[in-house]
Amino acid sequence: MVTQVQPIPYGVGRFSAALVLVILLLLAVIAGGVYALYTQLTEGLVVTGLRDIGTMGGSAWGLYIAFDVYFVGVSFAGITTAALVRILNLHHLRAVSRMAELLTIISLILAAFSVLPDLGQPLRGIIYLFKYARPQSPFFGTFTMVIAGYLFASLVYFFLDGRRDAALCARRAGRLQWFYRLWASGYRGTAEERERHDRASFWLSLAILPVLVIAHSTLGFVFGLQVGRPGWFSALQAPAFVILAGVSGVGLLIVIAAIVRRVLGAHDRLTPEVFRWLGNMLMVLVAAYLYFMVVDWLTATYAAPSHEARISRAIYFGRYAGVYWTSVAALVAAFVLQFRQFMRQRYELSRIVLAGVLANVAAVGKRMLIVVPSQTHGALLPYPPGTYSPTWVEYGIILGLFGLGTLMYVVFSKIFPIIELPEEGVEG
Amino acid sequence: MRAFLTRLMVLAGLVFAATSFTLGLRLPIPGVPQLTAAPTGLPGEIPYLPVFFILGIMLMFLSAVVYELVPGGRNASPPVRPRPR
Amino acid sequence: MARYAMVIDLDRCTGCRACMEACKVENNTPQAHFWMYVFRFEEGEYPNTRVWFMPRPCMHCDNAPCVKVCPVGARYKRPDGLVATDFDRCIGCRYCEVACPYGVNYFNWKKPERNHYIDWTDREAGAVLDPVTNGAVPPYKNPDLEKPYGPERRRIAGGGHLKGVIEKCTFCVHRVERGQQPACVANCPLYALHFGDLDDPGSRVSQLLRRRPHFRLLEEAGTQPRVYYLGGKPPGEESRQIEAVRARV
Repeated sequence: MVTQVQPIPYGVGRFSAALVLVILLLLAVIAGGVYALYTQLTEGLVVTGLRDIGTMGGSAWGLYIAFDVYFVGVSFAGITTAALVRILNLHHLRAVSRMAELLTIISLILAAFSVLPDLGQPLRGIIYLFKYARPQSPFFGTFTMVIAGYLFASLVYFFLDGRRDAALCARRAGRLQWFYRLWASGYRGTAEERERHDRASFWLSLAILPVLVIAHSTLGFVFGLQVGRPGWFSALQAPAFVILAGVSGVGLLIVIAAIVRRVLGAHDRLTPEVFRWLGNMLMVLVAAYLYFMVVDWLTATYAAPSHEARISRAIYFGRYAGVYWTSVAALVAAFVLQFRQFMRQRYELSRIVLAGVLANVAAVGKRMLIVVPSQTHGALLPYPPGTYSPTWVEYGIILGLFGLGTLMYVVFSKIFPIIELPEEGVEG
Repeated sequence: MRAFLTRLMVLAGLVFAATSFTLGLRLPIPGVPQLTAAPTGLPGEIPYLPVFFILGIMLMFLSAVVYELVPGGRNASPPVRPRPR
Repeated sequence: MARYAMVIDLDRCTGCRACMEACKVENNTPQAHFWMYVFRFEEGEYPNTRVWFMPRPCMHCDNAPCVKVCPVGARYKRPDGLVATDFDRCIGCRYCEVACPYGVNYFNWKKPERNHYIDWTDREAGAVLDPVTNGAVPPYKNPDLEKPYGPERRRIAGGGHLKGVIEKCTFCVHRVERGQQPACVANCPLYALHFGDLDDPGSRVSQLLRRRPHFRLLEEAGTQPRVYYLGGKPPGEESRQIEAVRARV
């Protein structure tokens, strides 16, 4: 077997000074997060801004839960892209499918890590959830379906989809040859193998779709089934969660794809066609979510019971007005940006990326607005309204999580091609 | 071999998941005695049911790996020689 | 099997909050935890105001949302009607707290030695208090709270045991199992609180409920609470608290 002289494309195994700097920066951010977590584990959750609902005038759930929901939402991107490629045969999206799948896997890991600091007894939480989790609790659905279904299924899909490229990478001698060989698991690229892979991926993507819907819906049920929390108790929560997941996931995928395109110079693979498609998908999802927001707003203002009206007042005009109207403006701007490009059939990458960023800003704001106001202003008994201000511990842990996710992404892209290798392989 | 194993895994996974979910609900069906699990708190609480549920779902998805990796089956391509007609 | 309930006579309550104090001492609840809380309401505009008071323990609902949502079964409903929290099982997710319509749950945000009213790791305070309390830590510690209760043998009594778990009013399960009344009921100077078995037609609570009109809080939520209020009316939009609660850790 002749050892290839050419390197694996897409930056695999190549470290520049700038990249080392970025990695060091990420490690610093992660270290800050670890220090914040340590503070919290020793002192207790009192170091956060969370407090009891009711007489203590606080919010028991805050940033951790909001970002847990956000990360689960972002994971929507991967499987949707994979499903679109396999089930609807949208082959021009193949170039982003590995990026999308990796985004799903990493964001699900981050989601799990985001819930653990929220638990008062994290170690107990891990053991007892596996030992005693009750199906009647909406947490059961989120916990099991996200881990077993979503994360594991995405890992299986990722593994099977990457075998071909792993086999191609394994043809050169190098430090990671054992890794590529392991991943390739005897892939030989025969027609029969490809056909089997197509069939398996098709059914896998089809099977993951209901898991996705269940995982996001049970997450919505965590909030939507609580009769004791006005503002949460709504049949709209589950579907709204699914749609907002799509918005944030596709938006973040656009941003990541643009960065990869710039950093790796992959203009030939990540064509304007790809971004046009993703941009249009974002536009449709944002429109659907804006519809949900309008329905929500009309229902709340037309004839809402007094408790819900109190929450709505706090959100539209009161304490949370800044976050709310910023999120609405970001969503509307994202839609308008995309819509104008669509109508004129003239697409610009920078505008599409901006829309993706705005969509995610809105998603984060909206997640906070789902979690917090119903606790501070949604008491059914006449407690006075509460307040919630996150502390450095919460910001530190969340930033640390973003740093961890980015680091995992960067490290992976350095050991495996982040874009599917072209049909001819690396030999040219 | 491959098809059989794949189908077995999907079925087994389904059975695992469905059984552990139903048992976890601990529905009080009249006439059916409630299972007791001694050291835990509540009657009918079976420890590690969630693990079986998760394993069941994982098993179903692992069948895809088996389908792709396990050789054999009628349409497996032979390594070198073409089949004589 | 008994079917316990509490009956609160709003015509008798003067808002003295002795029940809050008694509950705190009996259950060793930490700072700012009010398992029993008494609302002090004012309605109307001066000079035509009406002031009234409403004790609010845990409702021990028959259809408790907190029991439904607990992921690990730490919060559970006993056959005698009490809704209990097993602090050996609780993972501190606070789902029961956000699910409760009545706001009766309290979370242990701090570690126990910072959580109680005296830091007993402080040597100087210890030197003064030890002869009086005979070394009990915290100085007012109730020894009954560490033991398991009920046929299920779970540790469900008392507060502030460890950080990161949730707790709430237990109807003083450690007293009820001995045949005593909850601390709030036993200490009310006006006999405004009553506790007993609804299945016993001769019990005080059964008699009161037969004789007088009563209501329960948030009946429309479908929670089926076990705390009944005699006289008065449920708080409404017009009821405002006399002073804002400033109990924050």
